[in-house]
Amino acid sequence: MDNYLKYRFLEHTADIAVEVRGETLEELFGNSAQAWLETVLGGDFIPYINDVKDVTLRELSSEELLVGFLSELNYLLFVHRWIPARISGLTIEKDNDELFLIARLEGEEFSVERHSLKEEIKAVTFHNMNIVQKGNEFVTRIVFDI
Amino acid sequence: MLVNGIELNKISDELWEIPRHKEMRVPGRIYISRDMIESGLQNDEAINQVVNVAHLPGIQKYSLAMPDIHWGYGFPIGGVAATDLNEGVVSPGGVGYDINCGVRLAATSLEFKPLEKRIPKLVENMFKNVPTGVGASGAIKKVSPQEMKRILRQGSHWAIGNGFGSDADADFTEESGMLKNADPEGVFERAIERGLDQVGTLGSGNHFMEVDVVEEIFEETVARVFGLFKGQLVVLIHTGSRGLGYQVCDDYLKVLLKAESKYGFRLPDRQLACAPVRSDEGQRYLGAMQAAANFAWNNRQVIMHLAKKSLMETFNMQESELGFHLIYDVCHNIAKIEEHDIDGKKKKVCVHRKGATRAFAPGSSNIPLKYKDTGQPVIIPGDMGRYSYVMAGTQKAMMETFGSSCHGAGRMQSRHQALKHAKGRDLVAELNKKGISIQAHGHKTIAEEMPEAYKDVADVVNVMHNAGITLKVAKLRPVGVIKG
Repeated sequence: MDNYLKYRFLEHTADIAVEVRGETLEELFGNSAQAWLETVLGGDFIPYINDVKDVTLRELSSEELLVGFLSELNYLLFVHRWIPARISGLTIEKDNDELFLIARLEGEEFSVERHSLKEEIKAVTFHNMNIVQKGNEFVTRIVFDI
Repeated sequence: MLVNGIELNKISDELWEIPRHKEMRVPGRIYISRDMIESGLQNDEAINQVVNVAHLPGIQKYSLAMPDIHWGYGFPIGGVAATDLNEGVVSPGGVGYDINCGVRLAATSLEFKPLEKRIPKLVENMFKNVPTGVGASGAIKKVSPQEMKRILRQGSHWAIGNGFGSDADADFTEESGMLKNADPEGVFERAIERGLDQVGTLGSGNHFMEVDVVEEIFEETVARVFGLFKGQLVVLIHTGSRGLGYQVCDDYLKVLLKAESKYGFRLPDRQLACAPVRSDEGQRYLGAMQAAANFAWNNRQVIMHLAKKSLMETFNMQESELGFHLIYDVCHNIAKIEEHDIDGKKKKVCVHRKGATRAFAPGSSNIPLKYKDTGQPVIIPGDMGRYSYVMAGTQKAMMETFGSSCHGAGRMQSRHQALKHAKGRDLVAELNKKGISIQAHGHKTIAEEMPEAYKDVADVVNVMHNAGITLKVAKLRPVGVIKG
C-alpha cells in the first residue's frame, strides 16, 4: 500500500484533517501514526532509529484508543523531545469490555540541529472520528487541532 | 432563510434567531449581518454547532454566537452559553484547547512618528527576546514542578513577584490575573510537564506580538479614559496557556466523556462532553481550567515584560521615559461563574466563552475602577496586515449576551489554500511596503497567516457596534509583527 492509500490529507479551514485506511485495526493505527509523523515533521523526514519505547493503553472504544495512542506520540515528541518514528509489534486485543493496546515504538531523540518541527499539534480530537469497517478495510477521519 | 438546512429568522439587521426545534432546550441567536451569512456561514457547520450547544442541560436563555462565528470543536468559535449552577453542565468544548487564550494591550506614552525608522530594529529585538514558533521554550529559566504549582495558583502575580512587571499590571488584567479557585492539584502531571519550559513563550499558529500605532479614535472621551491617543505607539500580545492548557483540556475531555454516560446525557457531538457544574468531575475540570487560565495570564505578563525590555533596548530609554503600562488584558476562551440577569432576576451562572470576549458594562463591579464610567476595554485583534480594534462594553451586552462580544477575525482560507496563494510572492516585501516589519520562523508561517487568509475584522466589529453590544473606541494599525 503506498502512502496515498494509507492516508490522505483533507482540506480544513483552521486545522489538519486526514482520512486513514488499514486492512486491520492495527494497520489503521500504524497508518494513523504515519500521518501524525508527516504532520509534525514533514513528509521528507528520515529517521535514525537508536532507541525503543513500549506503550500500553486501555480504553472502552476504538476511537478513544486511537486518540489516546496518537496523543501518546504527541506527548513523547513535544514533552520528552523524542521522535516515535516507527512502530513495531502493535497489537490490539479485546479484554472484557475494554480494548487493550501494546506497541513498541522505535525512534530517536529530537535534535534542533538535525530536525525541524513543521507543526505543533495541540491535541488529537474526537471530531468526526468514527472508525468503521468498509468491506475488508477500516477507515476513519482524524482532525488534529493545531 | 435556510442556512445549512437550519432555519434562521431575522430579528434585526445584526441579530438572527434559530427557533427551538427537536431536542434544543433554548433557541439559538447569532449576531451577524446578512452579507456575512451569505459569504461565510452558508458553507460552515458552525450553525449546526449553535444548535448542538442548545442541547446542553441547564442552558439559559439562548445558545449565542458572535459575528466571528466559525467551526470549532464542540462549540463553534464565537460561541457563548450560560448554564444553571444547579441543573446545568460545564463543558471543555465551550472553552477550547487553548484555555485563556487572550489579548493584552499595553501602551507607551510615545508617539510613533519620530520612532518610525527604529521599528524594524524593535521587531528584531522582540523576536530575539520572546521565544516564538512550534514548541517554543526557554523565555525564562525552566521552572520546577513546585514553582509551576505556584504559577497555577497565583497567575500573573507570580510574574510580578518575580520582577516581570508591577502591581498595577494585575489591576488591569481580567480577574486581576488570578482566578482564586484554581486547583493546581487537579492539573495532571503531563500538563505540568508540558508547561515547564513554556513560561513567557508565544507559540505558533495565530499567536503574535504586534507593535501598533493608534490610527483612529471613534470615542474621544472613552479613549482618553483608556489612555489612548492618536499616533500613539502600543503593543498587542495574543497568546494563551500553551501546551499546559491544551493538555488540561485533553485530559478532562476524557474524564468528562466517562461522566457523560454516568449522568445519562445524550449529546450530539463527543467534543461537547460535559458534567454537571456541581459534580465532582465538573468541579475538578473547573479547578484545573482555572489553573491553566492563571498560567496564561502569567505567560502574557512575562511576555509584556520582555516587550518592555525590547523597547528599552531599542530606543535606549529608561522605563520612566517609555511610560509603558497595561491598558487591559482580556481572555477569550474560558468558563466563569458570574452573576447575570435571567428573566428579571439576578442569578449565578457558568458562562462559557469560546472565542468570545467578556464585555462588561459601565458600573460593573468586576472591572477596574478607572473604567467604571466607560465599561471595560474589549480588545479585538485583526490580521497582521490591516487593523485591530479597541471597543468598550455596554449595558446591552449585559442584557443580551451575558456581557460578551466578538474576539477576532477568523480564518477565511485554510492554511493549505493560503500557502497556494502565497506561492511566488514575497510577502515580507509586501508587508514592508505597507509599513509593517515582520519577523517569523520561515516563509510558511507568514504565508499561512497572511492578511487575505483572514476575514476583515472591521465587518465583525461593525456588527457588534451597530448591535450596541460593544462600541468602537479606537482602531490600531500594525507597524511591526512577530509570529511563531
